[in-house]
Amino acid sequence: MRSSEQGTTLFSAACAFIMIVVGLQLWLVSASVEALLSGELDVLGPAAAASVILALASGGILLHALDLDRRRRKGGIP
Amino acid sequence: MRPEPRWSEDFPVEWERDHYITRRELAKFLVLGSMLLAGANVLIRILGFRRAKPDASRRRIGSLSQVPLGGSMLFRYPTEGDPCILLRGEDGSLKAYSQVCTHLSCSVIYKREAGKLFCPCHCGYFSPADGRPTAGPPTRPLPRIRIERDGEDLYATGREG
Ligand code: FES
Repeated sequence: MRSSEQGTTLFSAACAFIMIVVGLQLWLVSASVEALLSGELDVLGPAAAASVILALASGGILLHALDLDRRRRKGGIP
Repeated sequence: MRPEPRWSEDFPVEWERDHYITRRELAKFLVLGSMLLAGANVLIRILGFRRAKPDASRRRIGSLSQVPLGGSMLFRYPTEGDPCILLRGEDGSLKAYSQVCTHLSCSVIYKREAGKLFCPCHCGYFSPADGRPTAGPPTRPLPRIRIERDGEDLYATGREG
């Protein structure tokens, strides 16, 4: 596989994972708004915590992909 | 040979490198969106803290003569930002609920001819007997306000649910 093809595959996989995370977060935001409006305040804390953890996970995946890509370009990864 | 200028890394000539760069930028953009959504969730949590209800204490809300038999009266409890509705049955019984619809917070009104609490936003109905939803999108009952009568005076003494 050519070098830039490897990079494309790497970032495509990262995008697929992050898109799933963003979909989950959209659902969490809409559920939280509904809970807020209906006065069910207990669920807001866990929803916010889950959303932050998901954001950190997507950030982590991106950093990992960027790191792999950097090493790949330097020739560290065959 | 002259080194490639830095900008050419982000504006490639070949398709393959172009795909690589657009995919990499998309991943960054998605992570930014993810961070913003997490921020929105945290903001909603903060708004939730601000909406937390203060302790409901006993407060006069009006007098019995203001509510006709089979009719209703609006009042605010426990704060000026919490609209409520008091119902007086044909038998003289008193029931009070929060006026905020449990679906999406529109104001509930009493439909005397139908004998039901009605939310005009999405045609939600609640039972005046116990505040339970009977039709439409709402799934949770209206919070109930405890009412006490002292002669002609009516007092709200607490909020349930
Ligand atoms: S807001 Fe009351 S039915 Fe939707």
